[in-house]
Amino acid sequence: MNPYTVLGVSQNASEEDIKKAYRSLVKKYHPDRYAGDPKAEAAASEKLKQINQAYDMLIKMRQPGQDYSGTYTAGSALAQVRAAIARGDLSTAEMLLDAMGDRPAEWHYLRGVVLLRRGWYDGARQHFETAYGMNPGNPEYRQAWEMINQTGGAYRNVFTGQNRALNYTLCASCVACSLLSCCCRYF
Amino acid sequence: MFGYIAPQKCELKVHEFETYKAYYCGLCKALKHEYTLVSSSLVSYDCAFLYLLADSLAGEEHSAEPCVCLLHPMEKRLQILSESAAYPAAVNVLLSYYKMKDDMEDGKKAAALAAPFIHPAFKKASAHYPETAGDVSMMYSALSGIQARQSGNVDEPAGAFGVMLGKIFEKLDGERWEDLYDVGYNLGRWLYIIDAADDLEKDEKTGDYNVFLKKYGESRHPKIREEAEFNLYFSLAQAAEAYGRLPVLKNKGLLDNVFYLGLKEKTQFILEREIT
Repeated sequence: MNPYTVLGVSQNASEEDIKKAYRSLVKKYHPDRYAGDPKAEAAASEKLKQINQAYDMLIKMRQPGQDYSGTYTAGSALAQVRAAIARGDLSTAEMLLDAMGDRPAEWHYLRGVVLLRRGWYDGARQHFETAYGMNPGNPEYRQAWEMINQTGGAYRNVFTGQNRALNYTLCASCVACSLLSCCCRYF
Repeated sequence: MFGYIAPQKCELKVHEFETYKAYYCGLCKALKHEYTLVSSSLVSYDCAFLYLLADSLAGEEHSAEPCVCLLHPMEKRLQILSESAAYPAAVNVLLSYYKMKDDMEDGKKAAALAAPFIHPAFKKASAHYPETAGDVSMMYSALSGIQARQSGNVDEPAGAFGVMLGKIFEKLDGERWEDLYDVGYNLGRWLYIIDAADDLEKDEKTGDYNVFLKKYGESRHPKIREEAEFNLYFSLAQAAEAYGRLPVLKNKGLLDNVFYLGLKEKTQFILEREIT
């Protein structure tokens, strides 16, 4: 497998280009887009696997001093979920979450982030609420709970009469990223 | 789709309202011309909006031409004809076809009458845009699966409908497909949920599938309003945010009105009327 061909970037593409191409492909081949057609869904998830491998390879190649794989094995299962979300690999994040028997507040929080990125806002809200309810002192959970409950209200209030041109940035994907303290927009 | 996407009329300038109507008439004309569909009852406001958005992103100036409308022979009307109309017209045909199929399965007689006209148009639209035809067909089968399972999870049908609309919107502009997908996905979610909220009482009487009734058992359940309200406004907030990222080359006042006022007004209206 040539990772450059898989991601459709040239050999001298910058890290930013690689990330951009990767995000675009992840979005294009997300299995959600093929729901209802099992054949296409399977083909898409196979393609997605390749894309993830290619991305991992390229990023690893570009960071020689760093043991990239270490970040996956060293952490707990929930840290692996966080890493998968940060890469935009929601299918893996979901698989890992499904496999866990123990479901602490952080599990609900991360499930909420995954659902938010998938555009399943109702489920996201329920899980953020559970996480916040289980551990109200945690600022991460509180921030998520506030974001999901306040976004709609902000939309309703901001654009009245002359205020409609106000700069407006309440994008779920960006918020989901900032919740995980990474600055890129994935799916 | 269901005809919920519209501007807030009282906040529009007169020329904006004229432009909006001219897109609607332009779409009607395209349907007649390309698909020989003469019934304007088939022209969907949602697809007229798709045309407006498509043409505003394409940016070329088209003057509105006078036209004669069989339904309104005494009125002077204007229409905007541009190349951007072809795709929204095909989408209109594809969605009308599935709506007709749905209606026929529900035993509505008018739907059976329209079938011989829509069927050839459907074939032609599918031949022009096979990928979109495939997307629409796939999502309708996903939706009927969700309905057959009698799902009470609002994310399932609304998400499926959103994905379909996302894929329809993303084809308007290859470069901006991600932002357009987000606009379409969130508008689709909103459309599905507002239609479900709008039909609560009707579905309760007829026994038709409604995701809120499945979840809460009865149309008067106090949780329904809260849940519908959250989902509707959150989806609109996302749609408006994604819209803000698009390079709109013309009709900005009109489009801003739809995203920031029209959709909000419609949401308020349905929530107040249907669910108190």
